[in-house]
Amino acid sequence: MRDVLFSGRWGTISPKSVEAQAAIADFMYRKHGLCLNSAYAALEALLRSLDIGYGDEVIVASYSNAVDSMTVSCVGAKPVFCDIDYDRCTISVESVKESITEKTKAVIVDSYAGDCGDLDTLSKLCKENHMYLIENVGDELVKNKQATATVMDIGKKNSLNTGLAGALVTDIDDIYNASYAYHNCGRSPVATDNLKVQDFVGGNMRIAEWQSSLVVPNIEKFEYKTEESKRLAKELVNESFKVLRVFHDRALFVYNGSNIDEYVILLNKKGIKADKRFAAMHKEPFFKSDYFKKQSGSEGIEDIDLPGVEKALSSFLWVYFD
Amino acid sequence: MGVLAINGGEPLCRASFFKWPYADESDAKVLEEVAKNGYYGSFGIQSKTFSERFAALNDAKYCIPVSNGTQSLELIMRGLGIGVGDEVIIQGYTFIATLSSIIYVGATPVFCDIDLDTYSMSVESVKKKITPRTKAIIPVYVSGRPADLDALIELADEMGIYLIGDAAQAVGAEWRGRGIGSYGIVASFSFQNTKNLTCGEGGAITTNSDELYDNIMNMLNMGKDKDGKYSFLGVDYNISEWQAGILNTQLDKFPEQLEKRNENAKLLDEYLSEFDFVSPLKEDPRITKNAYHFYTFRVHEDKLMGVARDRFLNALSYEGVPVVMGYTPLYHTNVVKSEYTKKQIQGKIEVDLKDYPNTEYAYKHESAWIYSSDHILLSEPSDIKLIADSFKKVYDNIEELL
Ligand SMILES: Cc1ncc(COP(=O)(O)O)c(C=O)c1O
Repeated sequence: MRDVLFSGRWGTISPKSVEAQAAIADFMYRKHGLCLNSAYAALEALLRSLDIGYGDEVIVASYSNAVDSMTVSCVGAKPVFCDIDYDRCTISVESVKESITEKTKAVIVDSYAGDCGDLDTLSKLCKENHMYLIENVGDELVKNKQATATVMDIGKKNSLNTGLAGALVTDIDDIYNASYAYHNCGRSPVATDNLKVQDFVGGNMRIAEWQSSLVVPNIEKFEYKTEESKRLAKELVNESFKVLRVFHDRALFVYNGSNIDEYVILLNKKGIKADKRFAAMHKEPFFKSDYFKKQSGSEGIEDIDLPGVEKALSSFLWVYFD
Repeated sequence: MGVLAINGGEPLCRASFFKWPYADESDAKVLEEVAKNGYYGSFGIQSKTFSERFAALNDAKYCIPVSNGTQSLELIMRGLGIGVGDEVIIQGYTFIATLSSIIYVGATPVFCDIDLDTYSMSVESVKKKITPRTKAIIPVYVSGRPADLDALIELADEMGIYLIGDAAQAVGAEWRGRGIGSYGIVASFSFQNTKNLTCGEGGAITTNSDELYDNIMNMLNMGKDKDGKYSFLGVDYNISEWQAGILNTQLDKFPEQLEKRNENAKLLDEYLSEFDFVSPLKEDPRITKNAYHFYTFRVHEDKLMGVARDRFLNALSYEGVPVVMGYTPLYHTNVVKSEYTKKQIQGKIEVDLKDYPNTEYAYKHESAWIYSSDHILLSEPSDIKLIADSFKKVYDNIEELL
């Protein structure tokens, strides 16, 4: 970081961010990588690069990272909330199928303790229906190959620990080029004249060099801690608290006692980091607000019955070991 | 071979301009502190400290440090409820971010003209562009010079629309003795690598409005309200502790640098005032501090014996003077016509060149900046003198350019 400081190049696509891009692509076994100023920005740039915006629909699980439905709303599209497959705790393929309309442009899948769901079936379904399959692995950094593009959070401590940054990876040249332009004032990756504006409606989602400079060293240090977490998770198991899955720094538990919220408090009191992680996004007030309606040109999100999500909220509990 | 460097002569302006950004051990130390502290993410201690200091610099109640000076504009408009179906008035003579941020929130940009003696938003032109759909005007303080805030604020208040200051280039500027960030409903700043206060990438929002402050803070918390419900659009345009830490140590050095920029700009004003083929922008006593991100001046082609501005600037560049012609008006860019824009704003951007005669004139004949990635106005007065001498040299040998 000292080198960065005295190089005089602290941002605006400088050597460390170029290095970081290549390292991220390698790390995720993809052709292209792009680092941005947050995971949110990574997903936003990706949606814009896929021409997803006003009037379009994107399917997301209601029980999911808020970033998914918020970025979709941010670009003017409407999130269509679907159910999860409760037994597996991933997006439900059946529910995705039922949510497809003429306006659907993409499906966003999250990683739930290392599992992004039935990606083979989903990617087939997406191809058949001319939809993009977008994967948001968040800070879990799980590596799959099926999605059109994958977005990740590289800011968090358990992830690449840059403080605040996101990345996207893809094998598709056009998507990389367009995302790059959207994240850098419309300039193409090979532009030389910074004052010349390109054809894309570019914003600024660039990563600073401080964060970029941490990507390569932290990739070198990075290791999944799944085995250690499995051991720690075992110690917490009891009659009404069973492990569904363990991945990296976290375990997904199924609680079948009477009051999950009290159980979270109890665990926290014992010094165990635990939470319910997600909300039922389709019920959140923003999606019924005037601003949402105005921006998406829709009537807002209706109250629908998503039994898997309901069950998840009263029984899925996440424990983090760091 | 001629006398002018463009014709093979010796360049006159062999100056060593001030390298930017400037760092010293205090910056290195703050990075070490952040590293030791172990938390590098959003809403950290460095960010909190900076927000208090930057609000004070601007005489504003609140400052929200954010990711950059583009996403800050998006946040501001969203925080004000501006979006699809609304109109926002901007000058064409600005950086792409002022335009793209409006399209990003789905609103319709409406272009107005500038005044040639200030290169700021023309109040008369704005008046003609206001419609019932107008929600805001975004005057851009180009090169750090405040626009006519008396007139613009009066107009905005009268019409019931917001004034959003694009102060990306205007850190430290003052209007009538008060910080630029306290004018209008809100102001937006950039701390990108070339800016006068920088952390590589960064931005800030200043406001006196409790409501807008709350809205934006909630948005930055992924849309969560005080009860943890997602009531707002969630947006992660936050700033890291690395960036905020650097802003703090850079801010320590800032006041002295600002003074120096002003002293050198004054020198340039004096030098250029001696010539009739160029002139500085009009003095305005209400601008009690110009931030001088760079130096804007006017070229008078009619005094150059038929030599065009671009040829004249090119000759200056060959002498070693870092000059550029400035902005291509944004209504000339493809962004305005793109299918993506039409989809996002659910309509099209109207462009009528007749309505921007000054911007067009500036673009084609007059506008010029002393601008480079080095910070010219932090250089030594002797280097500033070399710039002025180069102007004289080119003019004295103008027939070489015919
Ligand atoms: C007038 C104006 N507005 C907005 C911006 C955007 O700022 P940033 O580069 O931090 O996104 C700039 C930056 O150059 C600018 O000059």
